[in-house]
Amino acid sequence: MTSLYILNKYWLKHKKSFATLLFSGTLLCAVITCLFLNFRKDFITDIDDVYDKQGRQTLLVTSDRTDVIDLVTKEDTIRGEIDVLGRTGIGNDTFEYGILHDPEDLAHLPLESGRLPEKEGELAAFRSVLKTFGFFGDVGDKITLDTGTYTLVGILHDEDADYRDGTRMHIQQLYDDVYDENQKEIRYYYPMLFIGGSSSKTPVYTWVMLDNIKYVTVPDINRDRYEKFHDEFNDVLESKGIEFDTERDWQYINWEYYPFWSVAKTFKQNQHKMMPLYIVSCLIASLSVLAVMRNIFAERENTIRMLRKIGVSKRRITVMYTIEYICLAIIQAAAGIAIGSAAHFGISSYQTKVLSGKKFSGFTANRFADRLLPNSFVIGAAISAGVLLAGYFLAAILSNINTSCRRKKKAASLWRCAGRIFRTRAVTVIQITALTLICFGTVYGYMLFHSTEGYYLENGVGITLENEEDEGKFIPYLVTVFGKNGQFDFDKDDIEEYYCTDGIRTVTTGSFVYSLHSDHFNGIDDTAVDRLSGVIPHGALPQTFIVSDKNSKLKSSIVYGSEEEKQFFLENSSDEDKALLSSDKVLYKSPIALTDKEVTGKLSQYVTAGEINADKLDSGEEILMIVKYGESPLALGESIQLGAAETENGFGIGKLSTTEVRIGAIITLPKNMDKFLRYSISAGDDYNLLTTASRAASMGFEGAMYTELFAKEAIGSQIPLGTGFNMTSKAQLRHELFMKNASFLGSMGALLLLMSLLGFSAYFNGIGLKIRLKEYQISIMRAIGTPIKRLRRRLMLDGLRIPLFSGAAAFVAVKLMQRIMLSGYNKMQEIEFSTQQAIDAFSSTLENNGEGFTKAQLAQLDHISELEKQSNIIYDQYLCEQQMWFMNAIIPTLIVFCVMCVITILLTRKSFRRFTPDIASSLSKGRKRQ
Amino acid sequence: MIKTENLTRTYGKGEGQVVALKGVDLTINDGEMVAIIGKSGSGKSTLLNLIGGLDVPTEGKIFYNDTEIGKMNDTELSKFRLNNVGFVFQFFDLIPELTAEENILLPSKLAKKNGEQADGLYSALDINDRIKHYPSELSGGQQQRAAIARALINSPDVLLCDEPTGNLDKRSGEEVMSLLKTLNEEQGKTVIIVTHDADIAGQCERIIEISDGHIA
Ligand SMILES: Nc1ncnc2c1ncn2[C@@H]1O[C@H](COP(=O)(O)OP(=O)(O)OP(=O)(O)O)[C@@H](O)[C@H]1O
Ligand SMILES: [Mg+2]
Repeated sequence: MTSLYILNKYWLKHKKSFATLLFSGTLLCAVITCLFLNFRKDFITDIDDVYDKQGRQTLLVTSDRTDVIDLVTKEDTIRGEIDVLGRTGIGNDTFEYGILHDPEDLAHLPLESGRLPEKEGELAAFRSVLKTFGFFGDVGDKITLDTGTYTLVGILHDEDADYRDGTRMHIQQLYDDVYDENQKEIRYYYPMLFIGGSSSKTPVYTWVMLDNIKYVTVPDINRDRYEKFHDEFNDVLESKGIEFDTERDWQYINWEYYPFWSVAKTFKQNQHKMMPLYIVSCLIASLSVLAVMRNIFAERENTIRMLRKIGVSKRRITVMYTIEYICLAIIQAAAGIAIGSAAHFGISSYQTKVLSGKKFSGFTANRFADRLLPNSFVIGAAISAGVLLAGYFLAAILSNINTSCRRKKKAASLWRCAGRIFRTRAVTVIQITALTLICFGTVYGYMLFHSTEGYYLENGVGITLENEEDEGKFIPYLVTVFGKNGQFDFDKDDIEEYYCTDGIRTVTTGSFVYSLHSDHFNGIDDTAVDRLSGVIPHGALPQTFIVSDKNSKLKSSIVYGSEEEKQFFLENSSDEDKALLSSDKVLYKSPIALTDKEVTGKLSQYVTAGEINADKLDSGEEILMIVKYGESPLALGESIQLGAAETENGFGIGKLSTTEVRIGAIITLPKNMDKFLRYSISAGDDYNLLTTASRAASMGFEGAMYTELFAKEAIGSQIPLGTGFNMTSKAQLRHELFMKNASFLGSMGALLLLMSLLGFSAYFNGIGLKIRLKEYQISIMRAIGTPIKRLRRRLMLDGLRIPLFSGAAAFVAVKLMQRIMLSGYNKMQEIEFSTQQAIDAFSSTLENNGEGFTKAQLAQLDHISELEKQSNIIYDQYLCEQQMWFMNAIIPTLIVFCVMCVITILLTRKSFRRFTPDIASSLSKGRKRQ
Repeated sequence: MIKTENLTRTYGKGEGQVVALKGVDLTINDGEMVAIIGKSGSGKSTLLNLIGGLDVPTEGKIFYNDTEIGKMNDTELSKFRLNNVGFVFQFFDLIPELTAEENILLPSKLAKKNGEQADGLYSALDINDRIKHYPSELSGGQQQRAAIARALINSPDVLLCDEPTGNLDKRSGEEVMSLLKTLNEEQGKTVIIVTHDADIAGQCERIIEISDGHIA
């Protein structure tokens, strides 16, 4: 009780110290808590993004194949299970139904409404299944099936492809398989109905859902290989001697392998980038605590001495103060967590409500986050408590340091005497450390911020313009981060909006192209384009050909893959076309690019033969020849017979329509021309024909539409309905990017702010403290005749050495860090070089191999993976992405230095205000403190 | 000549106000040796501090040969103190970070003098063998003697001593007194001594008694 009384008395007397102490700890705890909540939110959002795009499970394996599961799983493989209990339904319409142990297991399935079942008696089903039952109710309704009555809690979406398409289609496929009479052998079916809770019924079989699979460690560079996952997987199974019917026992759920850990990886990378800031902040916070503590220690010495004199045991005093620190730690943790949570609530509300981000927050329950991320509250409380403790111990150590002076032979000079008089080592150490840390932290933060910002400013966000005709691939409209060739940058190229229809999926049989999808009827025609201003349109007809003689200079003649194929085409062709197909004429692949008149008007400067005659182009008399590489295979004025496969059913050649047209002009494109112009008039490799969309359509080429638009200004509202365009705009990408980086950069800013606040408070405290500590000495100096101005000047000079020293130290530290980062980068480059060599070596052995890989090749692959992994680790560890070694550190350091100097001067002046003309009083005050 | 007019010093405000000095009028001629006596807390130190310019009066004026020190700014006053006044504090007030010698030489260094009479002072005050020591290593009396040496180093015209012999044994006290007397007699310095010791007061030309902030 008495101890409490004493403590209470003490703190009441030193309200400011108490407040500062609480302030540092609480602020630190709040910021750390808020940061980690932000990270958690980001993490959950990222996971959801992955679900949206790919679904979580990469592999579904039935549970009785433990050998396979053992082979592919590793510790952090994500596992979910669905027990299939049998079939249920109404009458003859039955489907497999499964019990869901954790709704999270199906988080990758798109919910149309409601939620996934959690309790017994709850049911979720695909919309199509419900339709089959003749159920048209909604979530919340009761539904009676063979196995009982359930409350429908969720409807899974399985119509109208959306972005969870891949998963959906596969599930649809599995579902279809159930009804495929020919595939009776399939033993395992994916359920279409899900119930919650638990069941006493033994499952018929169980699906184990896996991700982050051990085996798939193939290098990133070798993207194609992911698509061959199926084959490789078999190879591995084979090499391990495991028999596995892939058709029957497992399903590869995703189109493309997307490692779940990429989310965790991003998290780790961000943490990694922030690590220096964390450390610096914690150190600074400790210093701030330390600075206050030192003060308290100094002031308490008398109290403790007094207590000891009146007979309080040393132990009791220790216990008293320990209890005090524990109380302090608890108070600051509680306050910090509350403030941090509130701050996070504000931030996440802002992100979801104002910036319309996903409706997640750090408080959202998510078991992956629980498992993989540290608990924000624990971290916040632990760090702030740790810092308090560290500050306490450091202060204890510092207060025991005796500033003993060596005996001097001769009396020292005035300057040296003053140096000795005003020396306050402990405080100076705190100040220098605080400032060095602030300076380093600020410069680091500046560099990180700048390089992250700069990265996007420099590289932009853009779209890959795929110029080549890719076999069996989507013509990409994927939004990618902007990089090297054939890409555009929204910022640099001043494009406001980009429109693209779904890619035309073309496949080849031999080298005969036919279109698989009829989606290419999407797009807009000339009339619509004419109404839009400042738009560069592009379209292409990849499936067109020229009918010519065998000895033509045209390249890539169309051949049939096999005799069967030839038969297939012949059967599907009209009599007229049959004649053409069986004549000695050759069909040459000849893509036609489509662009509007406005663009063709700009081409006159590149014309090498003939001239562009708009009327003749319009009437269909002439067509333009675009040559990108080499010679024109056709002469000016040469008459050609153009053909196209009509694709009513999307497959085969229904009819070969041919039309006569003359080459009106030959246009040779230089390499360094405007890339949009070049792109909009190109199709195919070395050469192509060019006309307008309406002209091509009237020539009988179906689907002759502009499928891409580059708009210099926003034209969204003018695009007619039903064009099937996807739009990507600068604003949209910026928003996405902002959302992606907002929390990271925001967190960084908050940390920097915290750091500066605490650090400067430690530093400021130091300036005041020093002068207070030396009040006695200063008063004596004044009493014996030193003007106050002179003393102030002297202390200011002394004080300025601190920013000078700190600035220099921080600069050296930054330079050193940059050095280390660069050395890491170089190391990574070396490894990448050897990786490339290994890949080359691997590729050369690949040529003569048909399907799978040999064991030696698998070993080679493992080696490549290993190298890749190494280089990835270095890339992350040395923050290579940020390329911070290029950053100029001197300017930010100088700015921080100048700010610190100004503050030092101002604060020293302010602290000197305590000295009034009443020297005697401050002399006696100082005397008491000594 | 030192002259005070209606010298008043109060501390604090309202209820707890302490009036340390109440309208003290005093004239001390050049070359005089004056003792100030009085009970503890009567305002002796306050008066001495005011005369030495270490404090500002709440009311009243202090003149040194017609110069009012209240009108000087900090720099002028400091310079005046450095060159013209030697102050021996009641509690010695040596700078703990400096050796006795450094403490003693400090005023001469500040005044850019060479402190030639230092050696003479050391032997006169019998601290020759202790000057390389830090104040914390000195006895109370030794500290007091070092403080006296510091006050004398710039050979000021006026010596203000707040109980200079308080911590000294009789013999040392007398030695200090005779030193002060010599300075007063031979060099004509004005010496003002605050003391409780009637013997010491008796050796002075004039005794001023202060009680409750008044000259009795
Ligand atoms: N800084 C101060 N604030 C408030 N009161 C003060 C202050 N300095 C002195 N006093 C008060 O003024 C009065 C005179 O003090 P002073 O130090 O002059 O006494 P003194 O005569 O020198 O006593 P002593 O013989 O004990 O040294 C005392 O009552 C003291 O409490
Ligand atoms: Mg006194």
